Amino acid sequence: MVKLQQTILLNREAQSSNTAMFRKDLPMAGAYSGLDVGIRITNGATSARDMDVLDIIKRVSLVMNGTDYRVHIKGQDLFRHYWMKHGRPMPYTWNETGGAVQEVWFRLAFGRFLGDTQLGLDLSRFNNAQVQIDYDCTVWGAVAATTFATGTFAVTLIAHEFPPNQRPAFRSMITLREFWNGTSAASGDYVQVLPSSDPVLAVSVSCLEDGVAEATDITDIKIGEDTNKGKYIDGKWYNYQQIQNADLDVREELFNLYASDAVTRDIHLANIKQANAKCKVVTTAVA
Amino acid sequence: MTTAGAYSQVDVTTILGNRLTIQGHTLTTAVAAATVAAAVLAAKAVDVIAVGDIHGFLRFPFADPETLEGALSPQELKLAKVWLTNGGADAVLALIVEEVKGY
Repeated sequence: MVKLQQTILLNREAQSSNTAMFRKDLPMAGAYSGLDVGIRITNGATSARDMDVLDIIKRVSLVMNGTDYRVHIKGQDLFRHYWMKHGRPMPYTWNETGGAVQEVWFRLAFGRFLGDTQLGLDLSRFNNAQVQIDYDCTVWGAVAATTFATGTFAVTLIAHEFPPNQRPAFRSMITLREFWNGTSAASGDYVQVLPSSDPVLAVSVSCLEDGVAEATDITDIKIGEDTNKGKYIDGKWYNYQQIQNADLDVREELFNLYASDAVTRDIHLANIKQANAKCKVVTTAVA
Repeated sequence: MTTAGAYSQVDVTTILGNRLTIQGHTLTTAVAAATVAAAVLAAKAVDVIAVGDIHGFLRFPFADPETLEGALSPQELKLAKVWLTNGGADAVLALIVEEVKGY
């Protein structure tokens, strides 16, 4: 097996704008098995309470030749997708303390695994390949001591790349893109046609509403042909959730919060079996 | 008492969906005091650990992850749809597809 090299394309490059579309052109040639995207942001001097860094990231995209979206997905969904597919999440740090750095990583996988010689991203096939990150650090209000420090949204890009003299001839690449979005209604069905131009490996459904029990907003899912015989998937959200989460290696999250009495935090887990909180500080003074 | 101190106790008291409610008090003792004073928790560093299912996300793989056999072909996809049955308003929805694009 060819040994991949990790090429740092960008290292913690701070963005001067607090709301913008980050764009980074990839090299004109290269054979990528995957691309890691790291996002960091620094809390304001006081704290940044109840502000999930994933909410800042409106979309992560990989765009070919200006219009061909090979990756296009919200930060919340990209984090969950990797976790669900691989059984464990990419690194995620939620620290609400003043001046602390929050951080999250994503991996865009273009092959079946890192080092796949048949499927991957061949940059020489495109006139332009661009990573785009649509972000908004002011989603909870302007930058301030109690939100985020200005100009601290920073991006790292690391390519998992085949060495230049050992680039395989990829026959195709795996893509990941949102093809429909909307807002749930109180009743009725949404019916969407699946994209049909290329073979489909998997379909994911995201249904996010904080503080609402699972399987409430979307109760049933069907995927398949519009006939009684041709349904590949047909069942209840709560059943599929149990089946799919049974395979997870990691089912927990850890946070360093900065909390007061009677506050709430919205996390990336539901159907919570256990949640514990512990204060980090005890002060004593001997008389 | 011969020791003064402030001890904070916090708990996750309520869980609803992906939302945790945290409540806490800080107990303060004073030297020679006979009683302990309690105040609600205010701006303290708190470690939280939670165990559960991934919130609001399902993935339906059709293809074998190694051979990719079973992928839905363009022929099959001509008639394929996704049906989502609504049960409550205001959730943010998305449908996401993993495809194989040839060169």
